[in-house]
Amino acid sequence: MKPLSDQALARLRRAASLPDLSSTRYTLVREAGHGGMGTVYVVRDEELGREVALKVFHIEDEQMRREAQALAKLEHPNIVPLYEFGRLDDGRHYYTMKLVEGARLDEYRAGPATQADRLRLFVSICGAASFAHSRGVLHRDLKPRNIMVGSFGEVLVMDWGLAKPLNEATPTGQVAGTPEYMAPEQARGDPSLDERADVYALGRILAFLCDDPPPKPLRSVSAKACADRRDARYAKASELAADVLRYLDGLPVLAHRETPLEAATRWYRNNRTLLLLIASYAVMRFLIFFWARA
Amino acid sequence: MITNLNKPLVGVVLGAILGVFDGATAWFTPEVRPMIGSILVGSSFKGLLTGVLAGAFARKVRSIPMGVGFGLLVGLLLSYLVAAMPSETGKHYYFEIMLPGSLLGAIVGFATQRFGRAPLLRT
Repeated sequence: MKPLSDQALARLRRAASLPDLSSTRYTLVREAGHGGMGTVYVVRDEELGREVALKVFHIEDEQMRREAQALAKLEHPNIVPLYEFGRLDDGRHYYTMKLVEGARLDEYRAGPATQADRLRLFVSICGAASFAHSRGVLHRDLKPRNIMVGSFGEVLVMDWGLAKPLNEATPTGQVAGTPEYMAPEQARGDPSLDERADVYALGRILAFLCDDPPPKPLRSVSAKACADRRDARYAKASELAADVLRYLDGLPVLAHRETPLEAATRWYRNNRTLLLLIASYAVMRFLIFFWARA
Repeated sequence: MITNLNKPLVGVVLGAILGVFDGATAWFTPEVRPMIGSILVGSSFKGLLTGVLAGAFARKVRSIPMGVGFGLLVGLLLSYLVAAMPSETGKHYYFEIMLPGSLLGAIVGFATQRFGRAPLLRT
């Protein structure tokens, strides 16, 4: 018998790893991506005639159920909505969610959007995190790769695989998350994480979204959100968002004590047109005065 | 605070103050100095009217360039009406009245867009 080539073997392995959707109303379109917890596929919902995202887990059932339950609690315009949770014939669990067309936040950052546009998106991300916290859910893995920006500028926070109830302690020493966006207490495996762990990640995302170099007030806001001691951070994601909104409105931010020169510069920036009009009026009056004398 | 007033009120207050100020500058033109009282009254009334109109416009249209343009036009029109009235000597001061008048209108137009409480949106 002729042995199979490496290519044929790879194809077979790929085919074997594809989910068997025959017992569901979905047909496979393509693989969208995979991570440590599961693989996401683009599938077609034959009953409703639309494409959705289907995530198949290759982790223990309880964690997957928890992710689906966390997501099901979170009906919010900036959180990817869950459609269905079920089990495949091969015993693996899956859930379907909205298929988000657009760019990941890190891809969006590389595009032509202005800092103000990016900050407005950031406020929406804070809104999603704040809503999740109000429903007792901590994301624990907020980062640009887990945030999608849709083609109409809508923002959706995805991948709630590490989400955990706020009032539930994590086993001591268990560390989960992305090192770059992980709060120090999360990296230490502190069992008593609270919303300030997400605030830390949001602070890192804010720094990522700012211009380079960032304006001083935004640097202070980000530094406050990413303080090593959680007592020194914003207590809530909504407080962080409010400070960013203050910056967008041309107001002083709470995280930064501005000097008189900075306050004057900010006032000038906000009222440039008014100052220009007043100066034009004064110059005109001055000229008319001398013209009349002449 | 100015942000707590509604937009027409911001226009009225600012228009009146700037109108009085603009009228007072007539004191530097010796030929019209005897008429300073009526100039002050007329100028502040013109400022008030510009303020009301610019404020009402700002309630309907939220755009700084449009607000400035509208204020400029209203200021120009009202100051033209004032300038069309001859002085005691029969001389007209179109240039001296219309140019600053239109600029003051633009300032009031800008201020009513930038400051003042906007009406709540009806749902």
